[in-house]
Amino acid sequence: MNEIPSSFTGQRGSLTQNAGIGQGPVPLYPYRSQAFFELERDRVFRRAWLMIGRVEELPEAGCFIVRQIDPCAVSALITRDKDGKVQAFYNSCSHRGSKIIDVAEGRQTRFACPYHGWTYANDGRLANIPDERNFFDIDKATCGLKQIATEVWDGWIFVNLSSPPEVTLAEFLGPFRDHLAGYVYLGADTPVIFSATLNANWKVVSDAFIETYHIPFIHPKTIGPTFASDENPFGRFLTAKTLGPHGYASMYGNSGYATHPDHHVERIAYKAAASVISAAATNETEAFLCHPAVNPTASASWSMDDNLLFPHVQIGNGPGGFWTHHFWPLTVNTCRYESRFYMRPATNMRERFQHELYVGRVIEVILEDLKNVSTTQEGIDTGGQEFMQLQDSEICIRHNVSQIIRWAEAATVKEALS
Amino acid sequence: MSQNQLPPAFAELMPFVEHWARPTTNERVAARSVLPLEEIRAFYDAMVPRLDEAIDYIDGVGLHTLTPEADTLTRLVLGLGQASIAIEIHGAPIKPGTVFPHGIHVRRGPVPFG
Ligand code: FES
Ligand SMILES: [Fe+2]
Repeated sequence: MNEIPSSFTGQRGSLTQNAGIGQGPVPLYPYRSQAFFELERDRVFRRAWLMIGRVEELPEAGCFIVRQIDPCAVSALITRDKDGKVQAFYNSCSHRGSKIIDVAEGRQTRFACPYHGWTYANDGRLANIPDERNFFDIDKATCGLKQIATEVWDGWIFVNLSSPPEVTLAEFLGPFRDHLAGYVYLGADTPVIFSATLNANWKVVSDAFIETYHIPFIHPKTIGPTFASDENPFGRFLTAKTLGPHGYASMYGNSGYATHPDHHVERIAYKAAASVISAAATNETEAFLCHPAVNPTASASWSMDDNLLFPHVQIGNGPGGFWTHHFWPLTVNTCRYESRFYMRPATNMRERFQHELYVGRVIEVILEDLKNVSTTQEGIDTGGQEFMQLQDSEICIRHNVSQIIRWAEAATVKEALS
Repeated sequence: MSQNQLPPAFAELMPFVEHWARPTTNERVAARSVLPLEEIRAFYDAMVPRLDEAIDYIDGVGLHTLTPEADTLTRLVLGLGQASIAIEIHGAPIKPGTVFPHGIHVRRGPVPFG
């Protein structure tokens, strides 16, 4: 691959310059303006293809999930019908509009509205109306659940609230598709799931996960020693690129990291990780690690990559597999955060104990990040600053905000993508 | 309560079972977050010398075919994972400057005992 590693000290890196996305200050109004929030809702979240989950969440015909598409106040019912087709519907009854289902997931092929019992098949067709003869020549064929445009790519489920969408999913993904093509989805059916509701604009939270500049300050004990070193004291990126509205960054890791001798539990768990687990697991992990999007500079000092899926999802790759972060706007200064760390179920206690330590540390790291987001938002909300000053390793923040502004200002999606 | 017995070889760890042998990650995070550091350390110090042995015992029984005693021991060992965060990372029950409960909900932990 044609990657250019950034320099780690002295001279400024050239990632931002190479991406051709400007180098000046970046405005803060998208993080606090109510008017911008509404534009963002209508022109970004109502027009973009939004990744809402994976097909493994609907393992067989008859499974369904219900997902909230904030900030558009849309509850979506996503079903897998008997032909295996995954389709999203508005969770709203054709009779008088009530939500028809109020649980997060399950298995059922018929959905009866709790209000007056109108019943739908899982392909959206209206199957039954109690006391149908008292209605006025109702045409059941036109009274199915209203569909939401749905497409599946590589197991990722996308929805689009425009009807019809202005561009196909393939056009929307553009070069991002090629970047992740052939990716290996380790443990795709068994994610560990975290969620939190936060007092910050969704981009404040998203930004906290796409730069490593903060790590020595916010995470000095949890992951600071693994992300920075004397060679790269501020954890500058290995590389980063924009891919249409999407992009990716590859992050530095301290290859000289060693467990502190007094950290007995970490040492014992690490010993487990280094031991032979199983041939199959090792081969699968190897295939994952060989993918060109994973550690794209083939660096010996690599920690993880972040793949930015516009507008509000990040897909991370690390040495043990992949994870996702979703940042769902609620209001201009609140959001819902969800992350999924995909991992195969442990086959023995050595692995299980290692998973417990890994997940335990992830919770602490997320806690450190999330503690800081409300502090950041309160500072932004003072109105004292008009702009952010972004350095080269904050390229992903610059790119994401500028793309959000671009979509918010563009009359059409084609124009935003051009 | 038979589901809270330990294998005889680990009987000395019984005093820690009630607080630490919890069934889910959320509950283990809570168990660690509400105790003073000295009590977390007492559990940590008692468990660490037996950790390797306990893991081998559980793997001898089989993680997915646990006896009631091995089930308790498994939950206790997982509790040590959380205790180690206080002892080895923060040097405090929770990250200094944060509060508990902190609002991060584990909707689904690693299996089993997630
Ligand atoms: S609103 Fe659904 S049956 Fe009346
Ligand atoms: Fe962070």
